[in-house]
Amino acid sequence: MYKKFRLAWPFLLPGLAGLLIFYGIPFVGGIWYSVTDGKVQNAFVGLENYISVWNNTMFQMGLKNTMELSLICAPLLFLLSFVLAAGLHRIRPAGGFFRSSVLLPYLMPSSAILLIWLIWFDFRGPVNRLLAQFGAERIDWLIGPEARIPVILLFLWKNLGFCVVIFMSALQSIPESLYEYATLEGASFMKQTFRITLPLAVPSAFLVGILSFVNAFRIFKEVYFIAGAYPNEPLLYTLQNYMSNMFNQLSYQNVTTAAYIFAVIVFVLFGVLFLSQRSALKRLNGGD
Amino acid sequence: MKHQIGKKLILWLAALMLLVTSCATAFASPGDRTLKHVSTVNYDAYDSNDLVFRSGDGFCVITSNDTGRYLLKYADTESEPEKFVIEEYNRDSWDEEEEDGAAAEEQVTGETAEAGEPDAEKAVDGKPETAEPAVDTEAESEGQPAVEGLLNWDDIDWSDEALNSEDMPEGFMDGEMYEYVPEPYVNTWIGWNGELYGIGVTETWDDEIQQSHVEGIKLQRIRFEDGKVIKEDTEYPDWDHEILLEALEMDGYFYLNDYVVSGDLLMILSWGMNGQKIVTVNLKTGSVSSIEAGENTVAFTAGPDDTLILASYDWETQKNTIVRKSLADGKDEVIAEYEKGAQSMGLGYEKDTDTLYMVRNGELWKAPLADAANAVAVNDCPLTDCSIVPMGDGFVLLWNRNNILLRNTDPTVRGTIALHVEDNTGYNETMAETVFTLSEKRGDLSVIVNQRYDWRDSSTVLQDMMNKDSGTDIYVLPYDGANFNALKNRGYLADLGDNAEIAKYVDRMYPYIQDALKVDGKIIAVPIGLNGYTFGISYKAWKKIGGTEEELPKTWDQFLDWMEKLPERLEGTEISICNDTYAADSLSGMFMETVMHQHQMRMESKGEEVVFNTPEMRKLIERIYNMDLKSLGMKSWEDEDNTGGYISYDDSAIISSYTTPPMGEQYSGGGYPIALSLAEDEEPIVPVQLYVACVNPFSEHAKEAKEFLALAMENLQLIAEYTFFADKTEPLRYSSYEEDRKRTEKYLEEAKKYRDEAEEGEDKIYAEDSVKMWEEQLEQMEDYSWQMNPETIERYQKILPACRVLDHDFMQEIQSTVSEQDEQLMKEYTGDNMDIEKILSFYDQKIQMIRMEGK
Repeated sequence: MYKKFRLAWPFLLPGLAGLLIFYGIPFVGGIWYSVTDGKVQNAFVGLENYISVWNNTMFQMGLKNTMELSLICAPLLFLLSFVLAAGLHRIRPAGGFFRSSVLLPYLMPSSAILLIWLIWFDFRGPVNRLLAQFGAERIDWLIGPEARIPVILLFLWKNLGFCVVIFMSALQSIPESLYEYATLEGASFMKQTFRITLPLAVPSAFLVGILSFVNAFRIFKEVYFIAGAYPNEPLLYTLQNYMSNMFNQLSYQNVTTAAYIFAVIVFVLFGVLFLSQRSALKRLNGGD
Repeated sequence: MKHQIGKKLILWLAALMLLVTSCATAFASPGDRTLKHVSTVNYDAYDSNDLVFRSGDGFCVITSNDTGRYLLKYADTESEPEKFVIEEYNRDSWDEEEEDGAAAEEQVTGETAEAGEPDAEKAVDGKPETAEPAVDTEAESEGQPAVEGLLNWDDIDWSDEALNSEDMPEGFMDGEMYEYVPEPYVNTWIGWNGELYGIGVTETWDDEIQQSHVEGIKLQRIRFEDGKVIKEDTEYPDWDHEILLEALEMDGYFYLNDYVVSGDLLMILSWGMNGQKIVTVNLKTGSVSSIEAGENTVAFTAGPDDTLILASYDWETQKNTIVRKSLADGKDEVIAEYEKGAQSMGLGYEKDTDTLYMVRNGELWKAPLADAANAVAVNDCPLTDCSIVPMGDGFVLLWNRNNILLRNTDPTVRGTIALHVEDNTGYNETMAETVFTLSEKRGDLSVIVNQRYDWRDSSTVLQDMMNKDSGTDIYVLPYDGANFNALKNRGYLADLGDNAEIAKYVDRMYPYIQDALKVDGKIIAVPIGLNGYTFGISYKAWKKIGGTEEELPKTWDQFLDWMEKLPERLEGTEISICNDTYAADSLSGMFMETVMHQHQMRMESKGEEVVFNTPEMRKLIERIYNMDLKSLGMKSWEDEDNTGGYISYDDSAIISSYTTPPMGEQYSGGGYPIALSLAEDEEPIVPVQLYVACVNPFSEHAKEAKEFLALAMENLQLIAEYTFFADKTEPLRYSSYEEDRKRTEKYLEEAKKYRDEAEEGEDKIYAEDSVKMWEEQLEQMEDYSWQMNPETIERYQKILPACRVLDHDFMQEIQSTVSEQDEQLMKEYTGDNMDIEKILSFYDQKIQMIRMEGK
């Protein structure tokens, strides 16, 4: 056992080194910046930055908008990817083409997708033309509060494929014999889903859930391209806008402070998700 | 004995120290020479290089100044030049020959370049130079009229004796004898196979369409003899000028800007209607062909085997691409791409060593052509746009209109300390000019000025600060830009006050400039130039139409009322309302920007939050945009009867757009910013926008960087110098003024003498006109002889109390961070159906967000 562990080190080391250099050290080092005044001399100011950032109206607005967007996007992404994965799983092997193509948006550069989006959701674009065909009023998709809709759709379209692939790998790892046995025993589709599919897919579902939230928290490029550094529609101002603008003002003590506050919130959220996963597994496995 | 040894030792040591110190400069930049440098910061006298080409072991320079055109022949790179006078006017050779008593071999032909457009400034014996005939006295003596071309007035013997001579052709005084016989003049100089040639162009003047026509183009060989340059016809056939002009898309004129000679081909980079192209002329046969040059070509040079090497700059990716293009089939081969490209470049190729030389981003680079991607910086170069002539001995000549520099290409002998300057002003020459000044004082310092134009103020300075990067020592930034504000607010600016010279310079500045440069007693930057434009008024033009200073408006409302009434005042005069022929397109925007800056500064000075969408602002901006500028006589480029885009800087118009605040025009009669207040009970405000230079707090050469900036204060553009320094209040004339005035006074005296002696009748009338003309010329000379005229200084002193430095340009920041949608909105709000409330709310909302973020 010990020998095996020693053998593993050379393989783990590059990855660990990268993790340490690019995540570990900056994470710890950032704490120092968050307690300094951020000027050339970097004087220590204690928790002053945390207080000022937490009380900053724009930080609060960014945090609120980011959380709102995440709470809309993550569950939608989770549900849609599960439904799509289940559907594609059903139509195999003929679904090979769909399974591959569903991942394509994930591979495309965001800027290219955004250009397409800007054309589609333009005031005179295809979406509004379609609405007009049905007699509805044209909507300013990219300017007013409605601008959230293209942002959400863009997020879903871009991230759906990846989540579908994770779900599908989970579904494919469930032995077919279990379903055959359940069918022979007279279990309905719903019963099979809740008694076989879901319990076995929960670890993957948890991963998809986490990824959905992480990606939703990082919605920025989409918003920035559509609405700029200071969105015309305040609802689109995210936490990333705040951090990016602070960076452009050389206020990196505010950037790091905002990042740590947000990290704490995310840890709490993930903690809740983790606990939910455990209790869900318990329930699905019959309460042990 | 011991004493003697000790003495000897001391003497040796002293000699060694002397040797080392005297050679310090030579060690720093061995062989580098500035052969010519004309300051580009402040134009005083004309002095320009037309061509530098290699000849034998040395090189030749064609240069021209106010006294004429010359050829300087350098036997090698170390020697002093031999000077030859280029007599472009055949008459000059004739004059000389006449002086020598020799018979004139050539007939008088005159300068044809400006044929039909006589130079009114040159005259002799009190008579203006006009399209009058001339008399070749040499030929005269042989009984032949020598009137073969349009002559300068001073060619004519105006003595009564000559004019009344029996040999004087009949009708001479009426101009009937005038018959213009076109002769080629050297339009462009080229070096070919180490010899000098001129491209001789023959032009005729078409009276009907008032335009000259190219009649023929041919090569002329140039010989040097007895200190003179002599033109000769060659055995080569005339060029197919019609095809050439068509290829160059030139109608009736011939002018070459970018061209190189390689082998027997003259290659010309041309900007046509359908993009850039390379037009080639075979110098031996005169045949012409052309190929496409690609997009955004910024430099080119001849490559090996009938190829061209072209450098382009992509404004989107900010990359330079170097392409080798075959002249035979026009095919391109990309040989290198450089990130952080240069917007202007110089290129040169040395065939013997197959080496490509480049000037980009403040440095001279070299690379084997086959490995151009791995070019090495070998020396610094303060020129941004120049030609390169490899000399084959490890040195290259870098030249442009104002400079000729000899540069060593051995990278191991560069200056021991390299200062890096990132200059985002684009056009301001102060930094580059300072390099020349510094090199005279500190040979051990190498200065690399990377000059670029970036309207979005997107310098990398913030990333550099985050990384504590010392790579750039000096940044030149707009004072009101987001980058400089970030540096200022976060304390990322080295204190320049510890350099005594800088401190002295800053102390000499006007208090409002000092206030902007000092934070907590520290000098955070020095001003390098002025940024931005505004409108002004020509007081001289206003006076001409009977206006008085008391009538001039004091507030914006009064100004708009006054403007509406201007057409009435201007009726029957030759003065127009605005100096910009497209004023209808630009004036409202310029007014709005000024008003918004003023409003912002007013609110900030009161300590109030900046809000643009107020009833007062809405009313004022609505008035500005509702003003029908076209009905006031202004034109737009869309108008069919527009006269083309042109801005005059004299007293021919009342309102002057695109003038630099706070001083306005340096020349008499131009426009000066007018100090207007937003309301009657308020003080006026003149927003002043600055470019400033600051030192990176992480710089490893901060001391040298400050020394450099102190020198930069000596190299400011004149308008900046007078704007910044409180003790610069003396008007300044061009250095040639005294000489010009004396000459003109002499002509006036002669004209008066001629008038007094003239008999009544036509001669008398003519002489009276001549006197009047010279008097006017003398008066005009007074007006146009100023580099900095008294009125400019006086006006500036009057508006000084209203001047304030704009420290944050919200509008610029918003415009540089908006999304495509926002841009569309802004266009929509400010377009034909301007929605003032929406555009002001748009700005307010963004400003509020910026403010709430904690700025």
